[in-house]
Amino acid sequence: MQTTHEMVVNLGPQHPSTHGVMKLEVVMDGEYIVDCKPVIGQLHRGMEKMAEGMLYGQFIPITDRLDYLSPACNNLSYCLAVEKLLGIEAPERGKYIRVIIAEMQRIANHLVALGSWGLDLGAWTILLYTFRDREMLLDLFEMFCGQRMTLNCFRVGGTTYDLPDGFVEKAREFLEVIPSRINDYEALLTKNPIWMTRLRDVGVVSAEDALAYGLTGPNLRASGVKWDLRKVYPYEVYDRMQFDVPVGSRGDCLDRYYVRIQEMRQSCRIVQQALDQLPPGDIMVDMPTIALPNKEEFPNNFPEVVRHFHLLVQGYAPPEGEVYLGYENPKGELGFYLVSDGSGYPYRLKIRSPSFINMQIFPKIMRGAMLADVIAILASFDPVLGEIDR
Amino acid sequence: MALGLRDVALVVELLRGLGVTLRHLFKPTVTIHYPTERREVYERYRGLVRWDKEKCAACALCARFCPVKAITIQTDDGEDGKKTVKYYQIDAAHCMYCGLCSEICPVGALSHSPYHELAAYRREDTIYAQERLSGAPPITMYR
Amino acid sequence: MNLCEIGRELERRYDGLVRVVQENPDLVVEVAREKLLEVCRFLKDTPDFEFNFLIFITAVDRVDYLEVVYCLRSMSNFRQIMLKVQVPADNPEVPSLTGIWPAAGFDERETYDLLGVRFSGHPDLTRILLPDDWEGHPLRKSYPVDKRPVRTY
Repeated sequence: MQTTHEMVVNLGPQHPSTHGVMKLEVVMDGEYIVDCKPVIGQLHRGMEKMAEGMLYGQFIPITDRLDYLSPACNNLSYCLAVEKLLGIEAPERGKYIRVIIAEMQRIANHLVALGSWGLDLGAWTILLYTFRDREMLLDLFEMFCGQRMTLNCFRVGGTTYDLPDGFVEKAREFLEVIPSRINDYEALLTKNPIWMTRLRDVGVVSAEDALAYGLTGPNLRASGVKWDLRKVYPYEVYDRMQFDVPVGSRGDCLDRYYVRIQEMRQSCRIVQQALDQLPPGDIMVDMPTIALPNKEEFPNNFPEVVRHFHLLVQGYAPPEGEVYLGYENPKGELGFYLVSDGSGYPYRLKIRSPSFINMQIFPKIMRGAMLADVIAILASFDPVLGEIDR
Repeated sequence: MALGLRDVALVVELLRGLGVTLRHLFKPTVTIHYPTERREVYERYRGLVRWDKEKCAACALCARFCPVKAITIQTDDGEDGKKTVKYYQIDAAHCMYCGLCSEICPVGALSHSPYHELAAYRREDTIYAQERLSGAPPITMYR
Repeated sequence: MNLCEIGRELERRYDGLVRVVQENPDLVVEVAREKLLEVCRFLKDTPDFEFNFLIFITAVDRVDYLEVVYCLRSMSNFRQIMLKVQVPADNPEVPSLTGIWPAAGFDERETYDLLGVRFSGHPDLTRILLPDDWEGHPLRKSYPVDKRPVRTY
């Protein structure tokens, strides 16, 4: 009698399509997938433990390393959580600057997602085009805060720097260019027969499944659930911005692609409006217990020096309690759960990272798919391993 | 084999995509040939940290606040009771260029240089101490 | 019904087994261990509450005991609530929520991995971020931060 055996295929940990050091143990029956098990943790750095030994302000550069493709959004999310714990709000101009940078970061993130997705499916050109356009954004970030990838540009209670001269003009130049570039990507991909065949009806996630498995961000919206934290809990100045929330209908990979493309256009709209409305004023909250003093006053103002040292050695002590704040990161809902015991160090910090939770649904949707679809599905969820493993 | 309407549509879409790439063929290049051509960094660029011995007040705040503890400082009591720096080092391999040290330094002794090509063959070369921390940054040996 | 009323309604319904510990900025409710599944089902299925989305699960080491934290969200009413369950540090065990929300799977594994809380009824309770042969649970306060584990190969 003929007998067949299932075979285990290890995708990764160094497979170029795995978006980082992730391993997928795929059980195959012929070309079809019987089971799939994500093996993660190769990039685990113990960030939550690190946070317990750091002042609130010291942890901000570490959050850059979470989702290293959208550091500004991570910074913003963390700062908002600490601000919620402290019960403060950034000044107007600070809020606008944060929104401008965070939305630019969202475009940059989706550009990488799109480029690497194309690369995974064999479309090399799209990667070159998206990275060319992301370069303009990275230049803007470098102009703003001096770093291209790990920005560390926001502080609790405001931003580090004000926008430099020429930033607004350069940002407007970018906004003029990018819509035609997005049209180019669409001409290359949206109706491309190969792209359609690879993505349509592959990795279908129903709306009920998406909610039950805790999907967030573009992956949830592609399944037809209209849920965007920027609309629901309008933090910062999102309530003054006009933008649409694109949703998909079928919940397959093609919808996830289409939602990301539309989100880039909406982000452009938000940046445009924020640049138009940008008010003058302070960028840092005016509270002596939180904001660092002005260094120029130091030679003849000794109490300010003492305050400077006090803030940096002991930090600011939020009241006892616990908060959770979720923020609409490009990949989904990035949330920080903070427990304060009244000292300058967080007692416990939990990072609710979107990619980690989004990954749970893989075994469910990959069952019955083909091996080649694994790569398409994986890329369509746009996971980043820095965030999964923390 | 007869060609249907669907095949025609597919070919049209493929040609549209090829049209985009063809258009890019006649556009100016955006890449630069890195080792021979270099781009200028912006004014706020956070490269290798520079330290000014004359300005430093030996308060050790930078070493305390650095999230990755890349800074080592040893201080000494001077003759007139003022603290002086005996030894100062920054481990460029550990440093993550977050800019917190230069932001918090009360006397402005720390600053960022545009220097960012820090590759070295030996690990000792990535440690910048005392004299190597001030003045013009060392020149890359791989030009 | 606003958030505070939800807390009071829960207190009234599960008299003595549910206690509101914080109302501002987030509503935090402490639940007895044996009532956890019942409270979760109630919060999920009752029409006025509809907490249909599990945001995260984690635990906090309070040295004498552990607190397992569940954060739920109602997507129709735009609310969120945090449930806390106290478990003893030497025998931390709570029922698994994977039957109600499949999203609990990875978070419970992570909490087991990093804090040593066992979730009874979880289909695959193994370490997720650390290697399988790792000793100890790093996010416990008693875990040394300045030592590297001794490996014997």
